[in-house]
Amino acid sequence: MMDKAAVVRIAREEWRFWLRSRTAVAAAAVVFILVITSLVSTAIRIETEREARLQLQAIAEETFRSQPARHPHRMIHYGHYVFRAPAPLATADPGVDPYTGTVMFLEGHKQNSATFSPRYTQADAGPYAFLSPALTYQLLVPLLLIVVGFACLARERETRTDQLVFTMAVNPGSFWLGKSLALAALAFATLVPLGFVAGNAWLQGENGWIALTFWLGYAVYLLCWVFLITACSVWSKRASTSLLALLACWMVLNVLLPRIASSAADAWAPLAGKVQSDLEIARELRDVGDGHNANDPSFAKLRAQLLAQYDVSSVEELPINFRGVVAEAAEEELTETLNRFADRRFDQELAQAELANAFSLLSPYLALKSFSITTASTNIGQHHLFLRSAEALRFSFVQSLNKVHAEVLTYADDVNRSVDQQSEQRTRVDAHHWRVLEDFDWEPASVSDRLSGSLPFFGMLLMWALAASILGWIGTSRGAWSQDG
Amino acid sequence: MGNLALEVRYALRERVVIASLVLAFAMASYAVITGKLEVDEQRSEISTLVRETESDQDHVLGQQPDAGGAAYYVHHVTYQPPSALAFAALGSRGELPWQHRVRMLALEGQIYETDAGNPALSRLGRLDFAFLTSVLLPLILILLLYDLDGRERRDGRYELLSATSASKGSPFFVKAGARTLLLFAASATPFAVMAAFVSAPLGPSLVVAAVVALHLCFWLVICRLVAVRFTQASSSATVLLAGWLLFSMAVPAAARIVVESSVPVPAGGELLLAQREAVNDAWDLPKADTMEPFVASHPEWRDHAEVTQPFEWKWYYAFQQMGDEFVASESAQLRAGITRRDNLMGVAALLSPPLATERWLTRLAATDRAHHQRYIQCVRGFHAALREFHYPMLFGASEYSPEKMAGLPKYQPCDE
Repeated sequence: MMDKAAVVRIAREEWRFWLRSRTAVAAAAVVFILVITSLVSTAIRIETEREARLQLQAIAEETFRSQPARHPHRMIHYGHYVFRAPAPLATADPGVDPYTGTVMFLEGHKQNSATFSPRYTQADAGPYAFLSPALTYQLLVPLLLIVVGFACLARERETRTDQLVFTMAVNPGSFWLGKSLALAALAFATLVPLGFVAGNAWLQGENGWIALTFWLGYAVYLLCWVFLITACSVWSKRASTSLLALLACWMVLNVLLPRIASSAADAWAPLAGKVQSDLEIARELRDVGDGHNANDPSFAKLRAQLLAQYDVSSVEELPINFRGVVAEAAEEELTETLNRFADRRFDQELAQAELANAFSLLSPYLALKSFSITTASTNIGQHHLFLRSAEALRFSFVQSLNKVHAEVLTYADDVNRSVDQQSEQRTRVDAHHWRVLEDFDWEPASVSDRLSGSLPFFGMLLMWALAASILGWIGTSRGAWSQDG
Repeated sequence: MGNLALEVRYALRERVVIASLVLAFAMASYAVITGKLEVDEQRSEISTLVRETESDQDHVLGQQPDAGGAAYYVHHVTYQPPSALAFAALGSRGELPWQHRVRMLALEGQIYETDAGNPALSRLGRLDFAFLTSVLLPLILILLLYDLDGRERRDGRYELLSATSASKGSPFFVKAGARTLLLFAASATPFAVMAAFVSAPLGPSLVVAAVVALHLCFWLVICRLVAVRFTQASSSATVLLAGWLLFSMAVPAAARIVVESSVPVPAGGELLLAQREAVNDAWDLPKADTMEPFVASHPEWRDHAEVTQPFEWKWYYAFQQMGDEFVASESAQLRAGITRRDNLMGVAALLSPPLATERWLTRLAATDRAHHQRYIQCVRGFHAALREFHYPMLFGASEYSPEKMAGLPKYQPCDE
């Protein structure tokens, strides 16, 4: 039988014990300071970067649209820049943001890579130099819970005070539950600052359900640790054994497994580099034809088609500029190839990420990490979304300019512009055409995608919490107490 | 020495010690094997790149009627091959580009292109030997040593042990030393085997082993200092963990913030935008606006710099180069800033032995920021050589012929 009053009483007494312990108070203070520091410093860093990138984006758009009269193909090579602004919840979990490029050059005939990842200009400060709020909750708060709670039951057994409690009609089950409750209360106390971050993201335009789910995921994760700790404490005869087991658990689950997962994913499913893909693309494109050269034999069919359509005998007589038509057709065919290789790269990256995610079953830490970036929309899928939106923008403005090239310029001027100054002047089209450039706004993945994507990881976290609580519950009847006789 | 051997034998009778040693050995083996696989992968990728680039160049060159086209359409590949010790510390190779495909256009528009690994994996980091030794081994050592005195106290043997010990110092120091030695052996053996297997140079390999040993010694001393001061096992564990957090996370994180705010670097995006304007403005300006400053900084082409047509290749390449020169100072500031940040971080690493260990290992493996900067310099040197090769033909000082293209510079990695 569970005695609710007894459970609460036990929890309250445990808190009293902790507040008298200098180590517990000091550990809690240190972790709280680290959490707050990481919250503030990450928020400042991400917000500064967001502003800088949005500002540069506006400048880039303004610059493109205010270019003087030019040959439209010049504008295709002049190109455009897009900047990746971090998602609102990136202030809580930056995810892949530090490792992905922030600026990308869009031009005709080419898909460039996103350059200048935040890492590019950073000094090597070791593996844990970025204490994001997410990382402090994932890595450090469990450590605090361990240090404070490892002895919660084992200590009572060592000093035999447990027998005293049992004489007061409290059974081991309530005793264990009370201690778990005390530790859970501490865990929830640490979650208060994260609540502010989630709330702030909500105020900044993040979906309310997302913000709430994000916070809940961390709550369940910490609950996993609460139950792991009390379970260990139940099963261990000595407090020192409990501490050793918990620290070993923490090291394996939180420090070792994530890295094993990523090394394994890389070794199992290697990734083709971008330079290598570019070379493969170049090899494949040898057959597509060069869009700069309207005499390229690859366009013979197109030429015959157009001549028949307009019922004329030479390209000079066409009412449209054949060079522009060729540029448009070539760009379309080329983009198809480029997109195929880009998709291959996305698939490979996703496959690797999924292989690494499979390890989430073995580690609640990994499950939470995947949950966190999926919900916050700072995962690799979000980066792919950025790359796809950028590509869509590239294709749209390049083809709009090619259309201008085909419809506004005359073929004769276009052919002679390199040798004749007047033709060169006439091939410069009015600057109002540069308004074809659309604003670059790319949205985070949809709320339902983010929620459904994070659901499996949330399920894993619940399973871990459940399994650990069952382990602890069984321990109350079969663990060290039963051996005491 | 006899004492130590005895303590080693005692230690090997303990289950916790055996388990820790097995774990350390397994992790080290995993780290060096996956590291080796990754390095092999990178080497084979490089040889594919070189082969494919040659075939691409042959194909493209066959179609070029003039010097300008040959310079425009031919792409080159540049790369930084992994060093012999790279398997032990993959360092920045997953995050920063170590291969580029460049051509004769403005280099500033190409050099920042990033062909790096999967960000989803970079986020998790890799379990390489450097991570193992800088972060995990101290943790394992703490788990092995925090309870050394406490347990004897609890079992009531502490006074007896201290009184009957034959050695002058604390008997626990020898005990702890034996465990440290065992841990070192368990983790360094896989490294040594792999280093021998890939015939890594002996000197640097020995330095790697020495760095690992020094780092473990640091933690041995810390563990003893704490154990002597705190008699309760749980307090000493807490304090040691706090120390681990302090040295592995807090100091590097704080130092990074200080270093980055005290050494600003130009924003990459702004540099790119400025560079593009400089290059593209030339199309709308009189040719003299490009050619005059060009011959001013490259007087050797003064007699060949006259441009009469609306489009001439030499003018085209001249404004590409002027675009590079326009942002040269920002670009140099960026490089200087990165180098300065990294150097300062090296100083800060004196306060954090784990960070110092990691930085030493990546430096020995040539996978640190400094080596990346050197690679970037190497690409710049190669690009300059390309200009030197093409300019005589572009400016008409010598005739273009397909045969001459046989002398096209081939990228060679710079000597480390």
